[in-house]
Amino acid sequence: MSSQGRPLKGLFDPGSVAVIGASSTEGKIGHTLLKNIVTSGYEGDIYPINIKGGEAFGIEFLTSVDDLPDGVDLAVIAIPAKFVKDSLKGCGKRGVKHAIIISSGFSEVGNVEMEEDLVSIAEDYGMRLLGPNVFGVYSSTADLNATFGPAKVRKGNIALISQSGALGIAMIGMTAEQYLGLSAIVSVGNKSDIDDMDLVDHFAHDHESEVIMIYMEGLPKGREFLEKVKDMPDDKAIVAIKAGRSEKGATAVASHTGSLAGSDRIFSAAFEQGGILRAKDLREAFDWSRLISSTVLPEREKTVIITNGGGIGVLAADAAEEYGVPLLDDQTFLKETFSDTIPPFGSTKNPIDLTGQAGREEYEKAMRAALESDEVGAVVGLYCETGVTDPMETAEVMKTLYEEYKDDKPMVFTFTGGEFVNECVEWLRKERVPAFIETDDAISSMGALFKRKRFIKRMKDGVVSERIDLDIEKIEEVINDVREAGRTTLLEDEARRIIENVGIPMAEGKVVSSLEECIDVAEDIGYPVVLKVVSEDIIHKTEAGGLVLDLENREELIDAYQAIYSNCKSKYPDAHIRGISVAEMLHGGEEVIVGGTNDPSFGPVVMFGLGGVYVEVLKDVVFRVAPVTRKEATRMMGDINAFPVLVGARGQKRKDLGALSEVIYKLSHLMYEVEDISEIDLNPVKAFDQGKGCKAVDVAITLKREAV
Amino acid sequence: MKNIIISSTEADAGKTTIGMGIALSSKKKFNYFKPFGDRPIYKKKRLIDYDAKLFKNILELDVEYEKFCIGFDHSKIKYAFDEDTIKQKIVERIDELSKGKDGVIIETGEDWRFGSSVSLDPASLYGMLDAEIIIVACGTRTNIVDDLAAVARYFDALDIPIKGAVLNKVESEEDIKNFAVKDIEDMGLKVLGIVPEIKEFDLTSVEFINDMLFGKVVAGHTGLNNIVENVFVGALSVDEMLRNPNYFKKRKLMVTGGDRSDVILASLEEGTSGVILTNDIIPPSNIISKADRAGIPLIVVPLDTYEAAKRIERMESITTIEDDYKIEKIKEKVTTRLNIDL
Repeated sequence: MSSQGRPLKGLFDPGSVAVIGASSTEGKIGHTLLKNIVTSGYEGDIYPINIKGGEAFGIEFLTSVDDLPDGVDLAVIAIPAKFVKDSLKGCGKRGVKHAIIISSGFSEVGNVEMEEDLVSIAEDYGMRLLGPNVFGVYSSTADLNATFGPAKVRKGNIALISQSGALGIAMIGMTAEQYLGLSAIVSVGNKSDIDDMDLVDHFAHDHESEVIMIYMEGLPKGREFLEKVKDMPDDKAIVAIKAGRSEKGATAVASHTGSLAGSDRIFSAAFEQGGILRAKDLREAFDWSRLISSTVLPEREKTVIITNGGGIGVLAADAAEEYGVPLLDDQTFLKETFSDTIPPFGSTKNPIDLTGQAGREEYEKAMRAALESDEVGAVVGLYCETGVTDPMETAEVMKTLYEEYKDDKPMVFTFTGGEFVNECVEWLRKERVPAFIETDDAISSMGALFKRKRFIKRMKDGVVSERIDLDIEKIEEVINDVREAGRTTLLEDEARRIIENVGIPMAEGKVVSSLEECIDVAEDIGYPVVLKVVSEDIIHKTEAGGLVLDLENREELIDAYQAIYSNCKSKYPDAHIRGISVAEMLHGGEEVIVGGTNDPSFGPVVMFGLGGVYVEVLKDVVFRVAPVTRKEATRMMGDINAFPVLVGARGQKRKDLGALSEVIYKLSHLMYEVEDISEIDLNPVKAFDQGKGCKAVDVAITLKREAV
Repeated sequence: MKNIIISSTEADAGKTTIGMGIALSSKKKFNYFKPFGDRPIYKKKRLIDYDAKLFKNILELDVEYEKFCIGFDHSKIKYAFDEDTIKQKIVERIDELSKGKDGVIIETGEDWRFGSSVSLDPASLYGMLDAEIIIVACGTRTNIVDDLAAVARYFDALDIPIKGAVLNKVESEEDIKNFAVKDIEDMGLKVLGIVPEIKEFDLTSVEFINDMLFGKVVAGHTGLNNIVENVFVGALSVDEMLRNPNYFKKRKLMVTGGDRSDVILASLEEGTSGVILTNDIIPPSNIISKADRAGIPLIVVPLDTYEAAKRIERMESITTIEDDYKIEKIKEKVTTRLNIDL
C-alpha cells in the first residue's frame, strides 16, 4: 500500500488516546494495552471504550466510539477483525487522525478486501493507519506505551522498527534488560498504509532518535527506501537486521550476472551503498546501536587500544583488522605519548599494554593521554580480571572519562572475567556507558561506527551521478527488432550495437554466415582471431564446443569453422545457429566481468568481479544498485578479493583501472536508463596495463519478458 | 590395386566396423581414406576424424592425420574445391595413400547420397578412381531389402556395378538368411556377409562420454577408461533407488544433480563406472575424495539432468582406440562372417 505522505506526529506524540476494545479483565490484550498506557507516564487524555462498558485503573469506559469527544489524536483498536471497519468509521466521524489496528485476521490470512475497506475509510477521513496486525507503539516523546508487550521500556535515543510482531515484542524486553534506551518502538504489520519508509522518514527527522534499528524480512520498494535514507541527516544512523540470508532469490539462468545475484548479496550491497549498517543478528544490532547512539563519530581514522592483558590486546587487534578499525601505528608517537604511563615491562606498541597490575590510576593516565591527543580518533579500553586490582574502580574511571570526553571521541570498554566483572559491565551499561563483555563485540561496534563515518565522508565527496550520452532511439530500434523477431535474447551483433552506442569498447568483430565471409573478415581484422557460435539457444559456448580462440592462420580458421558447426549441431541439434562471430583475439590483460541485472527490491543493479569461465565457481563479485558514480565504480573494484591482481601483484603491471571504472559506470547507466533490459553480461572484459584501456570480449543482453 | 569404396544405406549402418573387418580379415595391406569426415575431434586447433584415428592406430598406418580427410563440412569443400580440383585432389590423395599398400579402404559419409553436391558421394568417387563399391545395410529384413533395392536401382541407372552388400547389425541371422537374402540376390546384389548386432558395440567409455559432453572431470581420473553398459538417472530418493532393479546393473553411468550428495555417495558403493553431475554443481570435498579413492570419475556438466540423459542416449557409440576388446570382437564376429574376394 502506498503512503499518504502525511506526517506521523500524532502517532508518536498524541494529545489524546482512545483504546477501542479496552478490558477490565486481566490477561486480555485490551487490559494490557490500557494498563501500559496508564502506567507508562502518559499525561494525555485516555478514552477506553468497550461496548459492554466497565472500568479499570480508575477510568470509566465509554460504550461507543460515537461517545468520543471531537478530534482525539490516536485510536488504538484491539477488537475482532469483523468489527474493526465500523469502529474505524466511527473514529473517522469523530475526527480521529491516527489509528493503530492491533487486530489481526486481514491480508495476512488472505482477507485482502477487508483490509482494503479499512484503507478506503481512512482515506475518506484523512486518517493514517498503522497495521493491521501490529503490537502497538511505544514513544518516549509522549511517555506512551501503547503496546501489549512488556511495560518496562527504558527511555533513550534508539527507534526500533520491526516487521515481525512477535520478535518486536521480544525486543522490547531484550532492550530493557540490556539497558538500551528506546525513543520509540513500532511494528509495521500488514503495512496497509504506514510502511517502513514512512517510519524511517519520521524518525530521520525526530530529535529524540539518533539510531533507527530495523528488523526486516523483505523490502519490496528497496530503491525508494535507499532514496529516503540518502536524505537522512548525518547524525542519524540506520542499523538493519535483514532476515532470510539463506533465501534463494529468483535467479535468471540466462547470464552469469543473473545466476550470481542472490537476493541477499544484493541487499548487502545496497545497504552498504546507502550507508545502512547491516547487522548479522540481534545481538550485533544492539551492540552497534548501543555505541552509535551514545557517542560521536571519530574525527580521525586512528584507534588506540589500551589493555592490561597482552592476550586480550591481541584478540582486539585481530578483531580491529577484521572489522576495519585502523590502529594507530606511529611508533614514535606512541612511545612519546604512552611510555610514562606504562611500567618498564609494558608495551607502547598498540595495543598499549599497561600490564596486569594496572589499576585505576594507570588506566586514567593512559586513557587520558589518548583522549587528549589530536592524533587519536577513537579509544578502546580493555580490562582483564586480575587478582590484584578492583575492576569496579577501573569501571568508575572509565565512566568518568566517558562522561568527560564523549562529545570529543568515541570510546568502548570491555571487561573480561567472572561474575564480578560482568556486574561492572552491567553497571556501566546502566550508566549509559558503551561497555561489553566480549572484545569482539566492542571492536565490531567500533567498526560499525567507522563504517558510518566513511560513508558520510564519501557522500560529501559527491553523490551526483551524471547522465551519460545514450542514443536511446538507436537502442530502442535494436530492441524493437529483437522483440518483433519474437526473441528476448539479443544476438551478438545486436548486443554489440547497444554496447558500442554507450561507448564501451569491444574487441573488433563481425558475425558471418559463410566460410568465405569468415575468411575475409578474419583477414581484415588480422590474425589471430576468435570464432564463436551465434545462437540464442546456446548460452554456454565453451561447453558446447562453440568457441575457439587464438586462430593464427587460414588453415586453423577453416578447421575451427567446421568444428564449431559440427560440435554445436551435435550438442544442440534443435538450436538455431544464426552465424559465426569472428573477432580479434586479445592477448594479455586480466579478465574481469561487468554485468547488470534486475533485483525485485532494488531494480537495476551492476556487478563487477573476476571474470572468465570460472566466474560462477569463484564468485568473486560485488554489486551496487545502479546507476553508480565513477568513484563508486572505482570502489567496487577495490572490494573484490582479486583486486591486488588488478593493481599489480607478483611483479605484474597495474591494470587500467580508470578504463574499467568507466565501463562499470556506463553499464550501470545503461541498465538504469533502458528499462527493457533484463540482464547484461560483459564477460570477459580484458583489462590491459595502465594507459592501454580495456575491451569487452563477449557480450550477452537479455530483454525483460513482455507482460502477456 | 584394390580400392574399396564402402558406403551404406543409412547413417550409422556400421561402415567403419565393416571396413575394419575387411582390413583385418584380408591378407592384403590397406590404407584408409575418408574424404568427408563426419566424426570430428577438434584438438589443438586441428580437426581429425575419429574413425581415421582408429584406423591409423589399429592398422598402424604411417600417415599424418590431416591426410585422411579433405573436409568436414560442405562449406569447406565448396570453398576449397570445384568439380575439377576435387577430382584432382582425390586422385592425388589416393595415389599417395596407395604407396606401399595393396589398396585403400575409402569410407564415404553418412549414406550413399551424402556428398553428392560436392562430388564426394560413392558414385562420384567411383568415377574418379579404380575401385569397387560395397554397400553396408542394416535394419529389419523388410527395410534392408527396400533400401538395397533403391540403391541398386540408382547405381544401375548410372551403370555403376556394386561388388556386393554386407548386412550388418541384424537381429536374427536366420531370419535374414531365410527371408531377405534371396530377394537381394534377385536384384543382382551379392550378399558378402551377414553380421549380427554386437551388443558390446553399444558400450563406450566414461572418457568418451566426457568428451562428448564437454564435461570437467573433478575426481576419479584413473577410472576414465571404465566401460559404460547402462545409464541410470538419479532423480529419486536413495530409498526408491535401492528398490529399483536397474540400479543394480553393472557398469552403470549415474546421471544426477551435483547437489545430490546422497545419490552420489550411494553410487560410489555399487557397480558404477562414472557419475555425471549436472547443473554445474561441484559436490563437497569428502565426496570428491571418496570418488578418487574408488577410481570412479565424477564429471561436472552445465546441463540439467534431463538434457544430459537425453544427450547420452543420443550418443553414437563408436569404437575408440582404447577399446581393445572391441577390436577383438570385430575380429571374432565380423571377419569370420565376411566372404569378400579381394
